[in-house]
Amino acid sequence: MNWKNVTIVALISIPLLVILALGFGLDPRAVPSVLPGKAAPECTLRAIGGESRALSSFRGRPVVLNFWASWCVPCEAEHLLLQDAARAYGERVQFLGVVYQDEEENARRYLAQKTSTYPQMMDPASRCAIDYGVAGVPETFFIDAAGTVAAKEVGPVNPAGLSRTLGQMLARGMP
Amino acid sequence: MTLPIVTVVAVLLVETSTPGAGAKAEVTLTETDLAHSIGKELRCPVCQGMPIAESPSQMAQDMMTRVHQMLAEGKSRQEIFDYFVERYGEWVLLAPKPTGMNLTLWLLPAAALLIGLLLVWRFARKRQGAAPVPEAKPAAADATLEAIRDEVNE
Repeated sequence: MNWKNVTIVALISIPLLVILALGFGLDPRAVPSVLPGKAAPECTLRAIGGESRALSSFRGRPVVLNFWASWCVPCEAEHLLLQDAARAYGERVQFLGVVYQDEEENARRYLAQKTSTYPQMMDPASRCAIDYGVAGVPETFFIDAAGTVAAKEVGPVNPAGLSRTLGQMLARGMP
Repeated sequence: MTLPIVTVVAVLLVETSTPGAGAKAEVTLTETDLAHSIGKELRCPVCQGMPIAESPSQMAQDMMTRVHQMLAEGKSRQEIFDYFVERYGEWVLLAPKPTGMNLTLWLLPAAALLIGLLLVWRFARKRQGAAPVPEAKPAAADATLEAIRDEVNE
């Protein structure tokens, strides 16, 4: 066996195989979370059947900003969890729903069936969704009282994660 | 190449048909082209590797609207890319910046070509050095003939 040739082939192929193995382990559709740790982008939302309001006007306590849609199946179970959480945290945390890529009438009908305990907003031309780098629903952003994005959850939030993140944000207190 | 020619022809047509409105029409067309070229370099977050300029999805169209708005606000091409990178990370760029690990994308093809050329050169040199080999054949044939002769003589 020509060991010199074997070494050359190994030197070329092993790094390529390592790069391929690392690449196949990644999800090419997964959008990275770049906002946590940064100031929450400001955007204007319109309440369903109501007036426009700046996101910053909800500041002063932790904000849970949840992007959802009536056509989104995983959003359904999450909606119930968020309603329960909003009732449990009361005035300490501001929950906010943002309708993503959906008609206002569909959202209104959906909420009429399921009830909502916190403000639900429309996002004309997806301005706010783009500002927050949303790539699908559900996506939830946890904004602390000082207006910094503390965490981002892609997919439905789970009860343990929700109480842990909110617990940490409340422990940090007011700005 | 076709797109600039079409643009120039369109601008000339607008200028000749509506005197006085030519300058305005030229700006609009240029901005549309610029928005399209920017949109071709931004990845649609809800599609399979498609640029926002070519995706029919509502999200991509909303992102294109944002590009148009930013151009109208006087934002530069780089400022628009920076805005989307700040929100979606470098993932949003269909041609990632040639820095860090991304450099492998640029260097690997060149390195592979270099290694290939080196191997071809080595192979060619080896073949040149091994060219006189056929001369050995008559000697072997002679040895065989000699052995047969010896056997017959015995």
